[in-house]
Amino acid sequence: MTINDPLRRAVTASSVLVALLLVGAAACAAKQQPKETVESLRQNSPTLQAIARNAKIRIAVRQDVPYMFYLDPKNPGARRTGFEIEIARAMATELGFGEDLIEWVPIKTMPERLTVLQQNRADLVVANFSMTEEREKFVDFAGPYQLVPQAVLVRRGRSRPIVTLEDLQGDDMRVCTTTGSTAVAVLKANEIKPRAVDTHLLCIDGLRSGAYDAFTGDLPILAALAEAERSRTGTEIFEVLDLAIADQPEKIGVASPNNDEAMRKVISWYLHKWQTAGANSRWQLAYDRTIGPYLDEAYRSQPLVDNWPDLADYDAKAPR
Amino acid sequence: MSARAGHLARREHREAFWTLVVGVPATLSVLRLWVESGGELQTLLLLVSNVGALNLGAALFMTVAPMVTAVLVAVYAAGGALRCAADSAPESSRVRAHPSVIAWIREVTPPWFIGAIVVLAALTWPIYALPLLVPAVVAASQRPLWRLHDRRSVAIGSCVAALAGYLWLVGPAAGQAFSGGERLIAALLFLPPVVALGIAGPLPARFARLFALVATLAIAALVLLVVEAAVRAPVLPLVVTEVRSGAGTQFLRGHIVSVDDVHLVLLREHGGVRYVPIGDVKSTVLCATPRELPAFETRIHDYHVEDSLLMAKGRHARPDTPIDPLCRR
Repeated sequence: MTINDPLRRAVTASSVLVALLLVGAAACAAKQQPKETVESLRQNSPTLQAIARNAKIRIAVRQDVPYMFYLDPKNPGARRTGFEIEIARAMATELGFGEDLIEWVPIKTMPERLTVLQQNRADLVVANFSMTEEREKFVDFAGPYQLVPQAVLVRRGRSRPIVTLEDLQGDDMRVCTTTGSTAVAVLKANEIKPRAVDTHLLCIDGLRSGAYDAFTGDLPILAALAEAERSRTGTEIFEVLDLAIADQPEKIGVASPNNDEAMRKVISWYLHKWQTAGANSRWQLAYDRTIGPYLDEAYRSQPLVDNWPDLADYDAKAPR
Repeated sequence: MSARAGHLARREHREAFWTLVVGVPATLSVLRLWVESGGELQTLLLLVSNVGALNLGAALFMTVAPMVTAVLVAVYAAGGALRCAADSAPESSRVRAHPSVIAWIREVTPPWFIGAIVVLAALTWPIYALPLLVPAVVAASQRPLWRLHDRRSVAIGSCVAALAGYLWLVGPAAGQAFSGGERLIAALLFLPPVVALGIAGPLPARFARLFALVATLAIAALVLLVVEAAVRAPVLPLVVTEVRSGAGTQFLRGHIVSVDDVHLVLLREHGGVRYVPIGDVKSTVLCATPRELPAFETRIHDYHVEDSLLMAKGRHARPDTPIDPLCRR
């Protein structure tokens, strides 16, 4: 090939043109905007914008079960404790709000978990709220952050034998559960006639006094109540029975105002981030510090989060 | 030209070079402070009195090094191609009679300087742009890859081995980028070495004339962009400071100008200076800016393609990059 070869000149010219196009491509890449980010979602979320304006985040929580969600009734100014409180605290921290900027909204009855969001009295609900299709019509869910099977709490020195599910089905069997919880429907599906009350405390008091034979509900709550009783009295009064009342464990999620998809995505993303963070994740620390020691090892890992968004964030370039 | 005249001319060139090297960054630094102060004279004076010249120079170097090297690499690559076009053009050709100023710059620049610029570019450019250095170096040196050695078999063997090594290094990432919908990145990773195979050599005369014009204009525009980017690049790091006073808690976002026993002086993100009593400062956290958010996901052996080699190396040295939630407020 000689230097005057027209073919070679054409090849060089073509190469120069392609190189110029590639330089243009590199310039485009440098100007490329990130896809969806935490920041862009925060800008698009009316709830998060309102939270930022108010410089305070309102989180609705329950407060009657030690190790899960608890506030000493004799000392309302005390620090709240429990797994769900820690989850709420961690989520508030992720959103930029420390303890002193959280306004805790107490949930006293189960139906309140919906109404606090609908009436704009809370920005988030972290209150043992099962993610169900029915509830999805009224609120948005991010999660789950916990998978909980239904279980049965009974007295150790009970007079009536309760070994199988059928033992709970008799007309004279007094099975307590809480109003508005998903346990009501699950029990009815198993031909068990529950007596629904407003709070867990009424069930546990009734079980202690002999007014009820059994108390059904979420396993972590029952385990927490049993442990609290043991810790208070020094003896093991109650025991948790695994009677497989429901086929599937319930998904417990963080609820946010309906139709604020941007906020749901932000919360889902943080939950997913914790899930992938491993042993030192905020979830793991919250779990191990609270209810973890009283539950089976099988529950000691954060469940996979549904529909988490793939967002770009400041640590997206970090080594994997 | 006598030996003495030549010596004087070289000295003048050297002086002009160092005047440029010192004067341009100094001017840019002052312009940067002007922009950073939000156009307020008193704020500008405050910044001038608190920002050290050395710190300013170092910050300027770090933020504009990729852009300045991009301009120089473009000049040398285009200059190399135009020089070859001029040399191979007929005696009577206009390309030969009036070679482009870019070609002249390439010719008078010592090879060691070009080498240093290429090394600096390799360290500071985003990784996705690094393959462009291959055709750029070939164009600047006008040495086709198959003429790297006098023995053709050795040269072709080296060439094939280099391409195979490149494919091993970059191939999986290019495939990942392509399948992940990041076609731009896939093209930038895969095509430049292919282009490098054909980029050294003479250009058609008409094409060379057009290319000289386009390249000159493009490089001039690039210089303006570099100046614009340089004066807009941040001088001080972004922080959020939590301030507690009788009026309650405030979170102030801005740039710390100075701290002493009495005050923390903060240049607010959207303008204005705030003197915060030091006793009211509860915490201060360093924040990233949205421009640091990546637009792509492709990695080459766990190095993110939007990082430079230096940044990627740094991330591997300190892999944890916690973002304080206060920055998101």
